[in-house]
Amino acid sequence: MSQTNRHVKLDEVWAKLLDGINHVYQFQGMKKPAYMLLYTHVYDYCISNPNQSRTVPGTSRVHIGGLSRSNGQDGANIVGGELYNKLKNYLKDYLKDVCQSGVDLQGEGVLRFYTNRWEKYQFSSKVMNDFCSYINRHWVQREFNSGRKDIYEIYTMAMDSWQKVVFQPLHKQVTHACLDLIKSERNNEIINTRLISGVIQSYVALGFTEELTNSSHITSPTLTIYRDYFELYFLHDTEQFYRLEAATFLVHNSVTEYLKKVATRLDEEVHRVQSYLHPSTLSILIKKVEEVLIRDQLDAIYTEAKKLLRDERYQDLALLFKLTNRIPNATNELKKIVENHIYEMGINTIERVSGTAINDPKVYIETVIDIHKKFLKLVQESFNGEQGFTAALDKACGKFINNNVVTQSAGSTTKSPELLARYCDALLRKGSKAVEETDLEEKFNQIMIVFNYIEDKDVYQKFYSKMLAKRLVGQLSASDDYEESMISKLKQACGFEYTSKLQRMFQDIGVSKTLLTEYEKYCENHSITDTADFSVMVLSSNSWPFSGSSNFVIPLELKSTFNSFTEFYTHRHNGRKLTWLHQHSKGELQTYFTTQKYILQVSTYQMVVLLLFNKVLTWTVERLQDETQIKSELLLQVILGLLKSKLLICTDINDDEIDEDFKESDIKTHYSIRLSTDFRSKKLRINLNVPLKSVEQKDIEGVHRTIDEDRKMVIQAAIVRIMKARQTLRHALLMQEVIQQLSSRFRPKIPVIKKCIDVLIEKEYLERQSNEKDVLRYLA
Amino acid sequence: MAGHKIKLQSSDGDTFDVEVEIAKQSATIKTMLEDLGMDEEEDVIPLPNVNSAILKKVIQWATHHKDDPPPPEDDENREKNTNDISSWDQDFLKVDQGTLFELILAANYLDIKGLLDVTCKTVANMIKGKTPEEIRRTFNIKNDFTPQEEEQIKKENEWCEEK
Amino acid sequence: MELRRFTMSNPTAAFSIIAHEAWGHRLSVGENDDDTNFGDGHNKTQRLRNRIKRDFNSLPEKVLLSVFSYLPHLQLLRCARVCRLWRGLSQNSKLWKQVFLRPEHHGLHVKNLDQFVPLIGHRFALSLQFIELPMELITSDVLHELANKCPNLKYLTLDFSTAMQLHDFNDLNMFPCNLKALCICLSEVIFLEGFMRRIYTYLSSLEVLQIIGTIEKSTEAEEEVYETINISKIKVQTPNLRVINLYGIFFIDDNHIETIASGCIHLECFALNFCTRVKGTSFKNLLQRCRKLQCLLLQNTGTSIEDNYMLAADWATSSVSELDISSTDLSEQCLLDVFARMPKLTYLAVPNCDGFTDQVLDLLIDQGKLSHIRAIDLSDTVNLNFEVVATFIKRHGRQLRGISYYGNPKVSEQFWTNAIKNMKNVKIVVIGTSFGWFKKISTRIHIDQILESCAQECQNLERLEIQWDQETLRWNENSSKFIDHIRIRCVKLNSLVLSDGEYYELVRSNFERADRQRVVRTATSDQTSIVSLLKYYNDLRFN
Repeated sequence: MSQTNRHVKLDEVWAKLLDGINHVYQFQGMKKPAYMLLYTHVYDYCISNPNQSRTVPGTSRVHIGGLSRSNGQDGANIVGGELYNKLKNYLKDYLKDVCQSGVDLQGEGVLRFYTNRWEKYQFSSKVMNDFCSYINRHWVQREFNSGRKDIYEIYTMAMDSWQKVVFQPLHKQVTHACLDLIKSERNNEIINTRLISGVIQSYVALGFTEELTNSSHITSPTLTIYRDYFELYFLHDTEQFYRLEAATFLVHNSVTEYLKKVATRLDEEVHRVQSYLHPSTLSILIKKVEEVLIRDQLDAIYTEAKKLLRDERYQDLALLFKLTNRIPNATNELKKIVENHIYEMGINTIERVSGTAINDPKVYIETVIDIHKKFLKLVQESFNGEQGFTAALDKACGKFINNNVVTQSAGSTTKSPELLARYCDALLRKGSKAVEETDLEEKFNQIMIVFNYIEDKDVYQKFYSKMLAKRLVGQLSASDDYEESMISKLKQACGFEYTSKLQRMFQDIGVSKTLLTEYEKYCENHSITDTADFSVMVLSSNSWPFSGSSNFVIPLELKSTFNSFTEFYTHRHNGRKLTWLHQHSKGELQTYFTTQKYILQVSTYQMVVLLLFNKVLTWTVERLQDETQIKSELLLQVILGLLKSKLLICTDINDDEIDEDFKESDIKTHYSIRLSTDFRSKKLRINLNVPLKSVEQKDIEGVHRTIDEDRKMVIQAAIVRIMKARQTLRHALLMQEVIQQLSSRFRPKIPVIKKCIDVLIEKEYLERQSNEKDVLRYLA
Repeated sequence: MAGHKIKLQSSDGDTFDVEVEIAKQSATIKTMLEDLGMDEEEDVIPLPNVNSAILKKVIQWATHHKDDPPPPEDDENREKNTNDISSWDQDFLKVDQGTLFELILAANYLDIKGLLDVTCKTVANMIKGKTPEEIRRTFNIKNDFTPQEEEQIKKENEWCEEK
Repeated sequence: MELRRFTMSNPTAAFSIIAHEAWGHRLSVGENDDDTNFGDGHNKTQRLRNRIKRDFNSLPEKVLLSVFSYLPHLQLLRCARVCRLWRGLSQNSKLWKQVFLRPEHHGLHVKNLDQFVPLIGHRFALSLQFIELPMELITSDVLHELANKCPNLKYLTLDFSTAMQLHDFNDLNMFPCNLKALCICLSEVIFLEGFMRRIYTYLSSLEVLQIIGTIEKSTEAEEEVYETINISKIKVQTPNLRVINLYGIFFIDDNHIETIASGCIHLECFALNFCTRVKGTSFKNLLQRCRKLQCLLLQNTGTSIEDNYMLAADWATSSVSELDISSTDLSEQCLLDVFARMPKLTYLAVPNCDGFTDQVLDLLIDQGKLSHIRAIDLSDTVNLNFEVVATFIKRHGRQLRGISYYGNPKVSEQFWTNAIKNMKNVKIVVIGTSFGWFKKISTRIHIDQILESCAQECQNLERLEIQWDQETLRWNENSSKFIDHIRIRCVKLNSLVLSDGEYYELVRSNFERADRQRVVRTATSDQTSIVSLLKYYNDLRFN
């Protein structure tokens, strides 16, 4: 070493390095002291020359760097280039030998050779890179910075050399051998996966690209080699393999068996990537397999789906769904299939029970509920409760619930809401056997499920309120709590407005109770004693679905009671008008003319008629009419009822004539009726108060009739509301909005909406824009 | 591996026992240990480019900084601030120029980024604010320009004359 | 990549061979040079060699460049005159990656344009990444040269602020086209369109755009406002902007913001500091369109931003997590409403906001909006009581990196000694109240206790400012002990700002004696702010 500046010559340092490098590449191992000395040689060489060259500008500059540099003014040249080239050449020669010994190998042989040599080479190169790292830091980085793009760090250069000298000539054999092994594995043979993973690791390591941005790293890894020389072929092979497998397997096996196979295959492929391929291949490989095995077999799968649905093989369906769901949009068809299936099942099931169901709400509604329950389970278990399938369920249910054999034979879609309302009524009535309390809550929830599918929610509301009214007036409710719970559920589903009437009905009952106690106090205070034992409900006429009844002459026995209450009430609420709803009233009478005293539970009409017999024992029908002023058809019904009870006897008719077929029209006005003085009954309390046929029948018809009228009003109101907000709107848009706004109550028919618009134009709420006929304008 | 030690030998033959974790601040030593492993019997690692006095200082520096976070990647846009030398480092680097340069060389040789940075900053601070003549005196540099060259430099600098 | 250690049959043998070989070569070198020998007997010569005095120029070039990289450019020019080696080094393009040429902002002063132009290709060339050009240097020649020779130029500042007249740019037909960031400093009177229309088409790569107005230069609001640059034309060409900084531009109003909102869907940071004509009518659309917006800075937009516009914006679904509404007149009601809807905040600056009351801070704490807060500025908030601030610090102090809370005369050292215990990770702290005599602070502040708390708790402290003036501070001869503590324990402290006076002198001399120059500064020349904790701080810097 010189005392001033050491000058290390290239040949000298190369001689020293060569031994070390040979050691490394012959895999003879290396000790730390040796490593450190190699590092020091390289270091000394790299920092040695420039100082001398600076003193003699021009002369030494040429021979030092070896590579002349464009940017001469950056100061002295930096050594490294020649050493770098020597290393590069060394590797080239070395690798040529390597390649030579592998070129004739095939199959596993070439794999064993390639991976073995690669692993060693890679490690050796890493060691060499590290003890030559000063070249990287010192010369390579600098060359790169001044714009040279073909210079890499030594390790990368070593990779590059392998790629050019070994990989290029051998990659076909190597990749091919890998693919053969993978094929064997797919055919259930055990293979040495380490051979493949070694190759993959090599292909990945060989891919790098020159860094374009100005970062301190010269290269960055890419997967190009892996992609172009392995993955491409691998995917191609995969596709072929599975196409063939799908074709042959389906010849001998069911689709369900096939799908099970597909599931295992997919798992296998995932495992394959995880165990020896590059993770980036996963998604693209799986996609390929899915395409071949699932997407291309969708027709068969759909057919199988229908079969599985029919056979109720829900577990197999779940698998089918899981696999189909992997293909974008493929479940759409599946949803349609499910929807159709549910619809058909619904229609068929209802058809089977339609005979009884049309008159038996319990059978009808519980059938519906069962169908829904069954298919909800299907959706949840087989289709993972996925939204699209829930929607299909809803659509199918909506269709068959609103339109099926039962509704068709009833001639209207409003049959379903009617039956549902009746079903509710049955549950909520006193003495319904239905149920324990906990079950009832469950039942309510089921009712709400059906309710939500019902299109004509307004019809349901009408029936429901009618029946609620009866339950309340007749004190037939099983419990106020149940009633309230049901109403609150409806409120949740349809909003406050929908249930407001129902709630007011409820309130009236409460108010009536307090009113009654006040009335009793009033009687005490005014020493009114000649009243009957009397109770009354005062119902606001808007909320209740009752209409006033025909009046009659109030018998003497009740007169004072009526009068005192009327007086009490008008006194308290000045200006309110009381209308008596006799058809809903009832009373009890006690017989004194029989040896045994009977208590008769009778309607007010019956009471009026019977009380007349306190005066005379025999009346003609005509006279009864005169006395009571009850409308004759009603009177005849009352009389018929009493005749049937044998409390009254018609002298003009034989006893045995009064049977089921006997009609009130058979009673003539001149017939005379007398009290059956030898009336006998096993029961002491006799309920004669059976609802009058005509009333009941009229109720139902009335409901259906009023619905159309009511709907028109609702539609008109909606139109006005919308137009008021929008001022002007196109016809079509208005339609849309009306339908949307009302969809929670019923589905308005388009001709009806049109008619309503016309009505409103007539009434001058709206007008058609003069220049654009289909635009409507709101007139304030 | 806490407490595990390796032996480093200076150019003049002295051997130093150094904790591996401390020695690893030298990227050179760190990669070597990664490549060759550490579980062999104790090899003495020769450092022919560092003498005892300097190696001692380097180890002293590395011991003091052993818990420092790893120095940031060389970010080109990082501010080149020279006033952020910690007081310990300032004291540590109060040495004669020769030693300072030897430390720089050792840091470069052993690839200890933190030490190289702080020593370079120290030298930069010695240059800052000085005229060319003062710099020559400070570092004992000979003015090797010919008069013609002097003239040329003056011209080179004309685009941005000092005030 | 897996690396396995060498395995071999006889490691010792390999070692001996290799070592022997290597040493043998050493010997041969020694023989050739007739000087050094590595053998055991030659340690003396070896020692001798090492005792030889190294000189600077013998260091490897890489190291020399590394030293030079710490020198300012002006010094590099001086270095070129030292010797041949230094001349070469100082001209290395690696040292000229960032070039500052605005003398008024500590840059080089280019006197000779003709000599400067060739330097662009020779000296800067591929290395150049950042350059600042003053008015005089913004010429067609310079820009052509930059466009042709410096493909790696990413950051460009064009300072027109001193311009009285625009150069002729009719022959300008090239412009750097890989710019990531462009900063334009406006002049009060010069319309830039003549220049801008030549460069619009080169701006598509921009991610950061800064336009700096003239607010700092003008004394009073001008009677006439010139719209000297066309925001909407720029916007059309720059679809990739992530950061926009419009600073102190008189003519910017909500129409401009609407324009930007409609075009820059990648916008993440939007600064409108000192744009006094912004009312906020555009905020609704801004938040609606720029879904990625995280940082919104409205400092000193003054009294113009109105409550109802602020309220109209849909904060709930926005991504805004950094907000500066310093010195705005937003009401308490407005802030309550807006903050209740906002996502969690990481940065919040509300100094001089009278609307920022106890209730507002309470709401922010209660609703967990501050659970990720990193930096907060609550200074000069007259309607905020320190008790609530204490609650806040107790709850969230641990994650705070910066806090500024000065200007509340009721806050004493007791408050801070308690608070600092909860702020172990803080880097920036600004406290105290200047003009104590004016605000009639009756109690004296025991400064020693505050320093001691910082020394004990805040190992990461980098910047500390204490605003109380000398009359308010209480200290004595023993105070030196506490100054020692903070100096020794807070090793990262690089700025300590105090108000001028005897105590300042004491602290400064203490630090300087320990060779910590330039750490202690006076409040007259330095101010500390938490803005450096903004996520986009580096993109928002200018000058």
